[in-house]
Amino acid sequence: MALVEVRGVTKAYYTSRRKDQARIVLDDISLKFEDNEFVCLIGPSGCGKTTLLNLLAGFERPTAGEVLYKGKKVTSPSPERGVVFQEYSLFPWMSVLDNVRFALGSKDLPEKEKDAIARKALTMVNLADSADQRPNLLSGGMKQRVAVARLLAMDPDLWLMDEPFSSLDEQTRKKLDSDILNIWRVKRRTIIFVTHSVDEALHLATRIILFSQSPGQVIREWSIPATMSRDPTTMEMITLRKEITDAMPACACADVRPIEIRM
Amino acid sequence: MLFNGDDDARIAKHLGSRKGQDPVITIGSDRPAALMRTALTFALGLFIVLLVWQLFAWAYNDVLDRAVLRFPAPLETFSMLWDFLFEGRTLLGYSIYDHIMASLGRWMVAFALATVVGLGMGAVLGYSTALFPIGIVPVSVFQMIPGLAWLPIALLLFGLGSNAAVFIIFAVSSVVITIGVAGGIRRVPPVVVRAARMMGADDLTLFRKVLLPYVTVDIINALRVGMGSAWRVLIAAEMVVGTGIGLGYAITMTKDLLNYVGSFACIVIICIIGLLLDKVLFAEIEKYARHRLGMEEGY
Repeated sequence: MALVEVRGVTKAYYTSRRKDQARIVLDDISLKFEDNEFVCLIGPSGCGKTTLLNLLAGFERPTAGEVLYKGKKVTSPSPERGVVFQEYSLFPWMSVLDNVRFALGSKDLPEKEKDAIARKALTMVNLADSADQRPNLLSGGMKQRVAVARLLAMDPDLWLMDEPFSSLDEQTRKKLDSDILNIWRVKRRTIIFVTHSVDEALHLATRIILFSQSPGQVIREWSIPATMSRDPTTMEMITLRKEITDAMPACACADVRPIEIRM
Repeated sequence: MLFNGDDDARIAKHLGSRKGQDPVITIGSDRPAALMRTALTFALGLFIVLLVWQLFAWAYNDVLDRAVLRFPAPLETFSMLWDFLFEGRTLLGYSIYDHIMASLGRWMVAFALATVVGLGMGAVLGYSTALFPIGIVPVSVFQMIPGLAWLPIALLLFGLGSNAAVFIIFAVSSVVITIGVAGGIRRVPPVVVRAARMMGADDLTLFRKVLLPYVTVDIINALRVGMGSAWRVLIAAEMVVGTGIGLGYAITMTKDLLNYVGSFACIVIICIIGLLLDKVLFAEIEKYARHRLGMEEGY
């Protein structure tokens, strides 16, 4: 049995408050995610990647079809399926340590143990020294590392990551990507990672799923063995990169009339 | 403000004291100077009020010179205020302190009740997307009723006297607080709620540990606005429901007795108390809350 199964999922939203029209964002998607996969969902913006992640997390429900987690229908969020959000999602009134400890709130553990787990998680993301600081003193990269530490503390079987580092600068993003890869290698969990960057996907994934532009459908999938070198200058990676880029649909903005520039 | 030339000028004076390549320059506390500036700015603003008042009184009394009654000038007013406060002069048989305490007492009772009801209703309406569209209708209807228009209802329920005033204050400020609190909760970003849910927070935890801290500043602001409405309508209510004691009652009685200077002295007290409550009490509470909640920007 697959860890996660998406069965014929369609998701549609009203296009306006008049509710006289609905737009289909995900169009009859069926996917399976196995244990210990690192799956990257890529595609043009507006293709429903984030929507699919929200359905997997249980923040929203499908318009049709169903999402199964370990064979059970997903109806609400659960600490079994951790999420790192694109936006900053820390609680500003809690210290960094308390933010991480909050992730252990629903677990029946003695306070001392929660403290130890939270501190260990912060150490893993190199933030042990910032444990007592407030999030507003942290840089964007540090905030997202705290969000990762929350998941490390929670230790869910499934990690859902929605363009977690896309608002960070290139250097920081690469560093955090490598950190995530290490965590995945050590923890042996399943990660579903949304990105719009082919390079990021090639660096991380054992499987890349390419979505079409709206309404989102799966165009193609590629499997990359975890053992394969991710050096972007190897022939294999260059070929794969070209293959994916060529298959990638033009971005949604392409069908908009080009801006006229008058002198 | 686009540029803050004062800041640059102040820092520029200390650029010379830079130690080697150290990017941090020690400048020293700005606090005494800042306090002085605040005091001066406030004094200037106050001076404008007094100046306009004095000019108006002078024009009314001495230039127009058709008045039967004199328009109280600042000096007469403050002189009487001094007598009320420090010389033990009574007003309508009570000391000024009795009037102040009576008004403050009504305000506190009504405001406390309004806070309890407003927080409760605001929390329910803000939290429940199902109840909000229904509940906001009566709240909006009540909001449109001006303070003194509650008078007939207040008199029917409580008759003349203090309780009618308390009811009017309660009616006005509870609605203001409800709307502020509900609005605050509804503005909490979805990602915050989702993050808490994803980490396994149940309804109670979500409300207590996430929503409540998140909207504390909104709640304080709602209370602040409610406090202001309560204070203003309190005086008005006291003027019409015959409370027998209190600042509003004193204003209307001194007016009837043609003691306009006395009325003005009471108005000055009302302004001072209102300003103290808003600018000192609530401003400090808000500053403290922002700090505790880590919601300060910069620094």
